[in-house]
Amino acid sequence: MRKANFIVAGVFIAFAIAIIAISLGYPPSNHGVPGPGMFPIIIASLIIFSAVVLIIATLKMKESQNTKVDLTSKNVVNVYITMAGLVVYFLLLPNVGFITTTTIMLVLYIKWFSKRPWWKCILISILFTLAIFFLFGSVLNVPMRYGFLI
Amino acid sequence: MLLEVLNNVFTIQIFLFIIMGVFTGICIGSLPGLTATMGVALVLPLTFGMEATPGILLLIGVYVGAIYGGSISAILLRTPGTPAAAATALDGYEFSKRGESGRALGISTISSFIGGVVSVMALWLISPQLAKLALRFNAPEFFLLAVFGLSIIASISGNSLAKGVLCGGLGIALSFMGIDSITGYPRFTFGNINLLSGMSFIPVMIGLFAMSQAFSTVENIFTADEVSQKVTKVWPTRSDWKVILKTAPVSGLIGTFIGIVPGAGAEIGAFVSYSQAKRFSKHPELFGTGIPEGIAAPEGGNNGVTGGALIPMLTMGVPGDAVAAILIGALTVQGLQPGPLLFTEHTTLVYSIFLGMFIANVTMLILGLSSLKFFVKILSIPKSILTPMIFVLCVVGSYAINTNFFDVGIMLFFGIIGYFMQKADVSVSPAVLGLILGPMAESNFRRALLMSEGSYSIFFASPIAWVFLILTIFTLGMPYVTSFLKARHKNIA
Amino acid sequence: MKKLLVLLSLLALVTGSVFAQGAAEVTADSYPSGPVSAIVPYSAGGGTDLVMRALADAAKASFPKNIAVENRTGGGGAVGMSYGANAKADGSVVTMITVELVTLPHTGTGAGLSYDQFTPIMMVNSAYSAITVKADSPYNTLNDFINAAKTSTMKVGNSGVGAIWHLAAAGLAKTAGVTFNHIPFDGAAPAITSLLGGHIDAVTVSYAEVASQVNAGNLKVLAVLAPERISATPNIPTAKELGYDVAIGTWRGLGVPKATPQPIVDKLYSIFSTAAKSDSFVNFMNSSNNIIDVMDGPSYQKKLAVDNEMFKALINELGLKQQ
Repeated sequence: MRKANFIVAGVFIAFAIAIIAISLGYPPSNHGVPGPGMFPIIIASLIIFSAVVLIIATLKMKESQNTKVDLTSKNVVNVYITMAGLVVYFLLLPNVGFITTTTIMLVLYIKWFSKRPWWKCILISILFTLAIFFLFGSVLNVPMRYGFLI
Repeated sequence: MLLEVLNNVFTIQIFLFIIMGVFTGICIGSLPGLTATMGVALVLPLTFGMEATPGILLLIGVYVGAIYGGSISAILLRTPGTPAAAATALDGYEFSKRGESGRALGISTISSFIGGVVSVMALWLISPQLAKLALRFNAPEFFLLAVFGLSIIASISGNSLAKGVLCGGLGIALSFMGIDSITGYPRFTFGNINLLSGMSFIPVMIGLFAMSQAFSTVENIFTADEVSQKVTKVWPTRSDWKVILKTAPVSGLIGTFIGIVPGAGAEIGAFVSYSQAKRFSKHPELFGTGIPEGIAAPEGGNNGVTGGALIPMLTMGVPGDAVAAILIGALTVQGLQPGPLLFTEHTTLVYSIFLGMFIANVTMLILGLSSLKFFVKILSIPKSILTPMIFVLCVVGSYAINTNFFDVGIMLFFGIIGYFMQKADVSVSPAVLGLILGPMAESNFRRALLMSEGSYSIFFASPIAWVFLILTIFTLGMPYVTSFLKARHKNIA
Repeated sequence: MKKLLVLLSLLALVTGSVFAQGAAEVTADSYPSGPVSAIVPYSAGGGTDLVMRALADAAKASFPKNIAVENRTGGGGAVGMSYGANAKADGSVVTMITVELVTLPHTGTGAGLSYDQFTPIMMVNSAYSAITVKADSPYNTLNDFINAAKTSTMKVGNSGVGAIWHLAAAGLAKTAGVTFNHIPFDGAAPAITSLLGGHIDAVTVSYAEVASQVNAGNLKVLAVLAPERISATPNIPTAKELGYDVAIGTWRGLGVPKATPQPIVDKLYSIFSTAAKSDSFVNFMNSSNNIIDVMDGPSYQKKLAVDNEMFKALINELGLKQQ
């Protein structure tokens, strides 16, 4: 947890510095009315302050509280693969179409996770995709037709 | 007049419309990405051809149902169906993890009912007196209300206050994106047209809560045992009842008050109620681990807002929240103008709305309790199949809110961020609170100074402002005071 | 395996039929043979959305394959209008265009939007700014108000910085030679609420938005910034009559992408101008205090050009251009 805290604090400090750097270029206050940059700078300073507090608290942390954060085990790698798969899905979705991409995405994940027979995965995926398509598309009037397939 | 109202409301047609409305509302509310506001807007065109009373009551049914419905998915899947249920996810999902989702849903249903009824009572009995309160709110009061709201971060931060503040700061920082509401200057948009109107709040929330949770589930998807849900326990036990009756009415009142304030909606009502319940609890450290108070408070609070939001709307034509703004539109289409004249010229209609709203709450209670067993069944779907389905719901939900794929990307991005935040033991709810309240705090702070031409004394000029100042100091300082007192008590003993 | 085959064929059938419907060829004389979507660049339930929904409802008989209203929000209207401008030019996407089409490009937040990306079909309605104060305020005429503004700073609320009602207040101030303290709110409703609470001195939003409070005796309208008196309120003077030659207001209309064939534009005009005269639409507009102001395509095109120049000059003069 100690390492994780340092990373969190570091990322937030970098984020806050970026905010301040951008905000300094914004128009200044006008007749006592704060400009668009003032609040971002205040909040970014608050973030830096809290990050420093976190770092100090972590340095004082007892070794017994230093639980391990798992970022590399096989289980977590599965999560990374899932994330990557969803990013691909997100990129294909608007261009290919909802029913095609979603059905394929569901089949692959359900097969992977549940190890059920292929036909069951396909049946479940198609039914669920069509249900969502018609619920959102026809009943709730959300435009669901896009992409060169559907 | 009473007879007229009863005749007006107790017809099969009105009952059917209310039941339909509440049912639609529960369905819409429980789907991520479809908010109460959207649900009411979707049903609105149907009322154009209807009479005023059934039309408005249909919409109110949707409103009441949707605010309640959001809690169902929040409890079962850690996916707040509406922003109003974000606070419920904190404790609600813990129940499901233990296999007690039936119990959690039971508490949520009954608390929502109590909160709703309390607010209807307030609406009916004291709305003209309370209504004036809404007009007393000027920019400084809004700012201080938002600051008070932000002080709640202290009580929803989980194990580390510093991490909570970091996360809240992240939420506020995200809210800066888009066109500045005071000067019109585009901030942090990086030339992207999708960011001009700012970071969409719903996709961020779906990502941080639902998507990150789905990722965590994947971690153990091949090894985890399915938690069997105890379906039988829907009706609360005696000890749960005690908690509900102690918490929900107070939360309902807090919600009603938040509802009256223009621009502060059910999501704020829920968070404030949660924080106050924790503040006055004998065991604040148990909040977040799945205790009945953690559900009863936000659910009583968010349904309390429903009646509260109608108070300034019906009495003055001032919308208490986004849904009330649509209801004003619905009334105008009927040729009725919400405002002081509505009470004197259309008394029957106004009292029919009160009575109808009460019936809508009863309908919500009956529909909710009778369908709980069905909802719990969702969790009997194996995680290996349910998780991919949640992926689809998150994607479609974040797309539906603005029909914009950019929002789906935002959702996915914050899903990934949220997963790593969970890993680092950072609680995500402060970010949601910051995103809701950040713009309210900033724009009103600067608007106040614009009005006062730069003088800061405007922030101390009204009693309401002082009330919020004191409440904020109280909220932030109380934990230190109690721990100090406890320590002294120990020393003396 | 057999089940899988049955399932796949079923899928093929469903997708095939849906696909066939979506790809139907659109030609001018058979138009509208496919489904048409009407883009509203603002959120569901708002004023613009309600007008479009009522109009689509009145015209739905002319669209055999359905007309669906889609809300594409963001960027103060820029997102939805850009989407509509870049849609397929076959009449399958009709966009509700609003005055922001000629203001956003000049405030620097239009993201490449320009009025000449559209062929306008017709203007549907218009609304002019109403200078509104509290009923118990000491100002009874526009002159009272302007004179008071010469000696003290008037807090004038609007619906957002750079939004049309901000421009209206600024235009009036410029014509009258005074300066207001412009207070931006997130929409017209909170501005009106603030006026009701006595926190600001006036608002410059449309008459429709203050009508209910005026009827209830809480607010009063000093003047409208319209070219001539509004027929619904014949006793409210225009600013022009009172010696301030300024007319600023918003309008809503329909547009299709520029490359759309003329026969389709004509067909859309005939469909929507009929719908705008229908009883249901007229009733809706009257009960919601909206003023129907129909203008055909060519005159609307001219109005767009004139307004575009006017707002360009006004925005530059006010220094509202960002970046």
